[in-house]
Amino acid sequence: MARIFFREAIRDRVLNLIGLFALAMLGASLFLGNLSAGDEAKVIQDFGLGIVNLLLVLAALLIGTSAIYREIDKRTVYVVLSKPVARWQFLVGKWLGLAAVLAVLAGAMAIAFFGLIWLQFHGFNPLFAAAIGFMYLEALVVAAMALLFGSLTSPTLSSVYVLGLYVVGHNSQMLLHLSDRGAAPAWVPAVGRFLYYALPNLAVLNIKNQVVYGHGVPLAAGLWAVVYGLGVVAALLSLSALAFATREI
Amino acid sequence: MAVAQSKLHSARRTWRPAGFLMGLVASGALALFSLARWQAARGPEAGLLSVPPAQILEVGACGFDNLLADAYYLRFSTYWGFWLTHGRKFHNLYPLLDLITDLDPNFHSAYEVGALALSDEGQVDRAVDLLDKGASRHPSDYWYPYQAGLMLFLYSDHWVEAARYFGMAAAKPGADPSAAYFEARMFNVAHRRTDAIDEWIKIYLSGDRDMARVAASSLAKLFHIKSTWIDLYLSDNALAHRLAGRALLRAGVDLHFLDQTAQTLALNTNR
Repeated sequence: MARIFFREAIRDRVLNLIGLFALAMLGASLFLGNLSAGDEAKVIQDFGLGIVNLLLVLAALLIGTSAIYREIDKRTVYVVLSKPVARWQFLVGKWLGLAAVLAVLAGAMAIAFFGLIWLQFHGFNPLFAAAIGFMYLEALVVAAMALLFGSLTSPTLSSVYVLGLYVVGHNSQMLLHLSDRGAAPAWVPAVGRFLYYALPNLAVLNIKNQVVYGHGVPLAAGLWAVVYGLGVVAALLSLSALAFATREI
Repeated sequence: MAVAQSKLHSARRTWRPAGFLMGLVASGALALFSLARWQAARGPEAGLLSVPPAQILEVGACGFDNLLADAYYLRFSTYWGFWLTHGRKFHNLYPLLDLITDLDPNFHSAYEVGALALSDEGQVDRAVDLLDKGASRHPSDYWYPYQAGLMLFLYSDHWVEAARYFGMAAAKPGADPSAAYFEARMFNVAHRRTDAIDEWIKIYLSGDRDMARVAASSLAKLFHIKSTWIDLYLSDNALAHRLAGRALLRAGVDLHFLDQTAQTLALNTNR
């Protein structure tokens, strides 16, 4: 299932466009670096890492939200599910295929980015590889979110929901701060704390801003962040399986 | 009839691309012309920038804070360059730099070039505010107070304030020796004789040979004597100390003050 979806997705025009766009933007970051007054290296690295991150999330969102919908729309889902394949297996297969596509995309963009940094500065910080690894993990979480919403509703609505969850996921720390401020009723901090733990905290997987300054993360924190990311993926896939199992096709 | 129709059809097919090309050229020219007219009609004092609140941008940044800071910094450098070459006033300079440094608190160039641009525009106080913000985020870095001192020295006549900033910089670990030099110089310029002497003696005793020479020469100028007398007076040789002491007394130098400062500094160094 994963292999079939991988082959299907890798031929997708969206992916080709994203790949081309990534190469063009990475090239453009060199030019942007020259435009800045001072800190050229920082600007080039920020733009490079930002583009890799943005396009990985975009690919996960665009391919993930339409993955299930396409199968239902083309009615190929009936062919697959008529075979001894459980719905959750179908869904996990889709996610694994998407994970493989994202790995290829991340790998290609990483090679392009490292090449660019090497050409420009004759060396690169190995922490960048860790940052791209975390970006890949974040894209896997977004892919799981996309499959969850994609198994419930149309690709357009799913994209809106995923984007909303993505924004909240990067600002969930704020839920804690806001709920603890002011003379709010006693239940408000409790709700804030519940939402903080219930919603995926994507800021945990974001180290790109600090690696540019040569600051890494402690090994234990990095490992726990990876475990957290995989845990969130598993939780989202379980929810998706639950939603897809009860859905009328 | 059929032949004529066929010829017409063929001619249309031949000339159609040319028509499209002409249409493209004409509409492109119209678009570029109206863009130029729009720029001219907007006037030179039109607001070059609008700066959104940092809190809102930080929420929307979704972890791309550095990238956003870079984008705003590029906008700042472009407009600042434009302002320098075209003499236009730059609106919202401080809010823009404040936003950039909120998004990326470690953006060194934003503090450095930003403080320069603010000072150049006559907003030295704002430049110092920006550098104070950097100092509060990098408390062990001497560069921020040093730069604030430089801005005050170059773009205002707040010498004592500049000396205070250079003093703060000199007290940080790994500070450039010139920080203490500038502190003493600022006291000199501000005619704060006692503070200047105090600082020059500190520099003299700091151990840096080149700086000690500069300090001795500055002290000599303050006392209107030759710097060699101070060298001899503060040396370990008892005879030289006694002889130089007499010469300095004759020149009206307060030896008690000189001794006391040197002793205090020696005690502090030993501690």
